[in-house]
Order: sequence, then structure tokens, then C-alpha cells
Amino acid sequence: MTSGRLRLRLAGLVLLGSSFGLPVGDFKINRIMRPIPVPLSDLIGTFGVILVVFIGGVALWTLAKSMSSFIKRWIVWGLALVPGVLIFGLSTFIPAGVEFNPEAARMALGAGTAGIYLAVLLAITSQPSSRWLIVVSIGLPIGLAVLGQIPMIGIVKEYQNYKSTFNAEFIRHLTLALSSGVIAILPGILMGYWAYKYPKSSEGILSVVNLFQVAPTLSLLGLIMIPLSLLSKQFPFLKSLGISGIGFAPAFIVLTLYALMPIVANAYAAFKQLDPAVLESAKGMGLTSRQILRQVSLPLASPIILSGIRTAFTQNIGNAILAGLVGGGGFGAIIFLGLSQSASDLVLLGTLPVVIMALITESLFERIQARLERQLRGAHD
Amino acid sequence: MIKLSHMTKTYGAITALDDLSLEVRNGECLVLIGPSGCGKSTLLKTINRLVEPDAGEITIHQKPIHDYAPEVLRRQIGYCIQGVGLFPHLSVSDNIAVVPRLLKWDEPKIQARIDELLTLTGLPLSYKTKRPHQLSGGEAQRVGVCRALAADPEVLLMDEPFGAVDPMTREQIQLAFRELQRRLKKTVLFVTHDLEEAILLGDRIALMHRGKILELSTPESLGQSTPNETVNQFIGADYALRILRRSTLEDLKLTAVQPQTEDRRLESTSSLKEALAVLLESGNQRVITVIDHQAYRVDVGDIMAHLQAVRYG
Ligand SMILES: Nc1ncnc2c1ncn2[C@@H]1O[C@H](COP(=O)(O)OP(=O)(O)OP(=O)(O)O)[C@@H](O)[C@H]1O
Ligand SMILES: [Mg+2]
Repeated sequence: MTSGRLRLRLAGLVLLGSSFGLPVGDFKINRIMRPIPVPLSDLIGTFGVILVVFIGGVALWTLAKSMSSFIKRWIVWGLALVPGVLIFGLSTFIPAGVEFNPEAARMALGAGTAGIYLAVLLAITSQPSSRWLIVVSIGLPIGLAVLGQIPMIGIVKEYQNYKSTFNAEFIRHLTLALSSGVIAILPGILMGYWAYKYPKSSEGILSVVNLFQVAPTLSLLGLIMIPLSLLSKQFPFLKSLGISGIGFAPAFIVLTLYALMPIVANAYAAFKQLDPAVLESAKGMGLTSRQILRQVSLPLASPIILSGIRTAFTQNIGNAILAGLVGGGGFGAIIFLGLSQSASDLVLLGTLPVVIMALITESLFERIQARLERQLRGAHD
Repeated sequence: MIKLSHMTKTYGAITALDDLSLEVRNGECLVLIGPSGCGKSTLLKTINRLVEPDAGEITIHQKPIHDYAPEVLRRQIGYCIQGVGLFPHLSVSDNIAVVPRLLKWDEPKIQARIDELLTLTGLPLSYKTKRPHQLSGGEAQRVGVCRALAADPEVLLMDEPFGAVDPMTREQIQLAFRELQRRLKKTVLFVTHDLEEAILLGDRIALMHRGKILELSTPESLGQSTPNETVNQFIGADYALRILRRSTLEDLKLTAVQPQTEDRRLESTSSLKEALAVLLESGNQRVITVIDHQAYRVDVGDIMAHLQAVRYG
């Protein structure tokens, strides 16, 4: 069975489970009250659920069997709209027999919605060229939120409450993740090159780098905080620069160290895999070592180095959440605030943008890599 | 002329070069042959200073190679290696242009040179924009030869340049290279494992064993000077047959005859080895060849006489 078919089967199972078993939403009279679970049948009735599951099943079955790609195209575009429609429906839902104040009440997205979204993603990605479909499936709910069409949804409410914080933390998060990644690039490549050039040093360099990999991010954060706070006590001018045991500095340092790891490891591997015959002929033809590095080694190593940089950036975007723990800001601040208040919508508000940012970073790098490969392998193939 | 005197190189307990002396004459192709690990590549690489010997001296045209900076020296010496080692990220043109660009030739001259070399090695000009991964093994090796010849060096070092192709293609490239060398008359030191190749391409053959030159002579008289067990083992009992490949019917002294329709005909450019094979299976049929509109009878006796003359004479 192809992985496409497997995905579709999984999608079918998840769809079935999510539609019948799990609540698609959790209605809350206010932020603190216990939620009232809202199953899909409350929205569209039991008969509606059966109909939806039936139509969904037929759609997935059609995708699995090889039929005209035209029909398949229509089906996947239809599926991409499903999460948006479902969320819109949830936003307009008014539970029977409950008194509530529309200002304070909200509808949190439930496990069923997550499940249905997962099923849609599985179905979409079982087909070729799914990038734009994914964008639409995420973009439609966001678009509805921006246009004020789904004001009752919990995460939208939280955004309204925390708008200015959200925007500030967004900038913070992006700055932190990107700047620490950028700073790590050059030293990372140099360390990788050094380890390759001087085999005696390679063990040392690689084991230090691996140490970061083994040490959990959080403990590294703690380890960095101590010397930093000691330093800033000793040298007050550091404090005036904003460097202390908490805040931006320790988060920045830890993220840089973490970003270093994949870059060094990949750069080392990239130089290591160079064909000795190519290097020998370069030297034998009279290129100086600098010319060999610039004209031969670096271009040939660049795809693997680039994929190290890609790993560094995507992982940095996720890891930057931890900055929230040490007062470094970023979406971590929103997530941990949400956790402390048991406000799941707030947690979601912090998590969702991180996931989207990671996806965007991945696809950007994918494009750059594809272009680089094309350049190295020649335009026509 | 490349002159190597008393070269010694050891790697730990291994002696790769053992007080070795050798002269490569101007315009000759000297083939270095010997069992794996005997030090052939090491010897070659001391000439373009990829390997520094422990002792010994090398001069090229009476000038010690240490008078040049290594890069300057290398740019004057064409170098081909077994792995070919084309730059995979550069087109065929750019691969060939590396040394001319290092030497700061102007671009029109480089382009003209690329065309010239491709034609010389029998590659179509449309290959200029190809990348190495789009070439067959044989084509890649031709490009490797073009690259070594690019800046028109007087000296060429070739380390098993045709090692990695199938026998058919290999013979084609060998013949093309022999043709090329007859015209260009470079000073070539050519390393190989393959006795056939050495006999076909070498003006002289140096037989190397454990870091020393055991014997140095023309292919025809290899194994003749001093009886040596190792040399005999290496060249084998059928060596006389092998050297027949170096001569053609045109090299024989033949008797003129009147051609008959039932005669079996041979091209005058056929090697003596091919001629002998045809003779062996011809039975009672007469074998002739035509040189300058005159037919000649080909006989086993003629071939034998020729062999006696070149090998034992
Ligand atoms: N860089 C090196 N370090 C250690 N030993 C080496 C090195 N280069 C060559 N040797 C050793 O020196 C000896 C001669 O090596 P060389 O490469 O000159 O052999 P070769 O005649 O070219 O063999 P082949 O026909 O297999 O290419 C071998 O025993 C080899 O193991
Ligand atoms: Mg060798």
C-alpha cells in the first residue's frame, strides 16, 4: 500500500472517531467556569453527523481509488474548507437552556475539531502538491477571525484581550529565534570546517557540540543564568546593557548554542563527504588552499550546510518558547501565562503561531535548497 | 626532461620509494607499471609536489622543482587521476577552463582552447554545458584529459587515467590518446596496472617493484636485458603475442603477389596480433593485404621474422 492510501485510511478512522466520540467544542460561560462539551451532533443533529461521516467517507474513498485527477482536485479543495466551516459553525452555536453573557462566554476548540483538522490534513497531504491546500486550511479560519466573523471562538477572544501583548511577543519571538540563528551560522560553519581540517580537534569540537544535544534546553538555560547573574552583579555596566541572569540575554545565548549544534554537525559532515579525488585534482591543478575552499569545497558542501541551518532555524523557533520561562519574552510568555491560568485558549494562542512560523520557515528553506541544488547540478537535466 | 635522482619516501614501516632514479625524455610517453602498492602514485605525486620525498631531487628541464612555488609548478604540469575528479558543480567548459583561468588567460582564448580540446578528444561541442554527472565514464575521462591538457603544459602526469571504463571504451580512448600523443609529443609519465595499455601507449616501459625500478626499456625488448624471475613473472609467457599489437602489416617486409578472388583480405592497418589470429583460422586460404595498390601475401613466417627483429634482434 502506498503511503498515500495509508494516510487516507488513517484519515477515515480519525474522522469517524472525532465526529462521533469527541466534543468539537467546549462552551464556557466565562473563563473560569467548567466547560460544557459540545459534540458535533449538537451542531448538526445525529442525522447530520451520519451524513457528514458518509460524505467524508465517500470523498476519502474517491481519493484512494484512482479516478480522474479533476474530481480529486475538487475534493481536496472542498476538504481544505472544512475546518473553517466547522469553526464558523461553532462560533454561531448557542447552547440550549444555558444563561450566559455574550461578553464573557466563549467557545473553545475541542478535541473533535483537532481530530477533524488532522483528518483533513492527512487527506490533503495524500495528494501531490498540497502546499496551497494546507495554506488555505489554516488561512480560512485565520481570515474569518481577522474579519471578525467568529468572535465567540475562545482563541479569538483571548487575542482580543491580549492583542498588544501578542504583537509585542510576536516580534520578540521572531527576533530572538532569527537573530540567535543568524549569529550561529558563521561560527558554526567555521567550527565544522575546523573539525574537518584538523582531525585531531574534531573529536573535541563534536563532543562539546553533542553535549548541548544531550543537555535538555531547560537545564542549559538554568546553567547559563547563574554565571550571567554573577557577572552582572560584578560588572554593573553589563546590567545597564540589559544583560543579566534573566531576560533576553540568557535566552539568546542558549538559543545560539543550540543553533550551533546542527550547523557544526552538518558542516563537518558536508566537508567530510567531499570526494577525495575532486580535492586532489583541485590541488594537483594548482589551486591554492583558499581557492579550493572558495571554488570547490564550499559550493559542494553548501547543500548539506544549508540543511543544517534549516534545522537550526526551525528548532530555534520552537525552542524560543522557553525564553518565556526566564523573562525573555516571546510566545512562551503567552503560553506559560495560559498554563498558569489553566486557560487552554490562551495556550493555543501562543502555540499556533509558533507552529505556523515553523512551517513557513521549513517551506522557505525548502525553496532555497531546491534552487541551490538546481544551480549545482546544472539547469537542464 | 624530468629527472628524478635518488628518491626515497617512507610511510612508517612502508618504503614507497627506495633510492629510485629515473629520467623521462622530452616528448616521450614513459609508462610506469607495477603491482598495486609498489609506489607508482607516490612517485608521480612527488613530481607535482603532492607528496614531499624524504630524500632525492627532481628537476624539470634542468631546473629543480623546488625553485617554484607549489601552485606555480602545478599549473605548468597537466595532471589526470584515476578517479577523474571532475568538479561536479561546474560544466564541462568550466572544468576545462580551471587552469587557464588561474593563469589569467583572456576569455576568448580560453573558449577557443576548449573547442579545440573537445574536438581533439572526439567530444561533441554540445557537451560544453553538460555537468559531469551527465557524462558516461569514458566521456568523463576524456574531459579529464582535456582538463589536464588545457593550459598546453609540456609535462603530463597521468595516474591510471583510463582505469574506470569498460574494455571496449577503454581501447577506444587508448587509441585516441595514442593518436593525440603522436601529434602533440608531450613529455608524459603514465601510470597503469595494465600491461596491454603499457605496451600500446609506452615509448618506454618502467617496471616498478617495491619502490624500485626493476627494468626500463622499450616495450619490444622488455624482459630481454637481464634474466629476472620477478620481471618474467610479471610480463608472462605470452608477452611476445602481446607486443604484436604494437606493429601493423605496414611494418612487415612482405612478398608481392597477384591478388585472387578467393584470397582473404586484411586491412594494411591491422595489428600483427589480428593478422596472426586470421592466419591461424585461415587454413589453406591465402591471406593478402593491399598497400599502395599492390597486393602482398601475409605469412606466419613474416610475422615471426618481424618479432625476431624487434625483440631479439
Ligand atoms: N598517505 C599515505 N600514508 C601512508 N601510507 C601511504 C600513503 N600513501 C601511500 N602509502 C603506502 O605507500 C605504498 C605505495 O602507495 P602508492 O599509492 O604509491 O601505490 P601504487 O603503486 O600507486 O598502488 P596502486 O596501483 O594500487 O594505485 C602503499 O603501500 C601505500 O599503502
Ligand atoms: Mg596508485
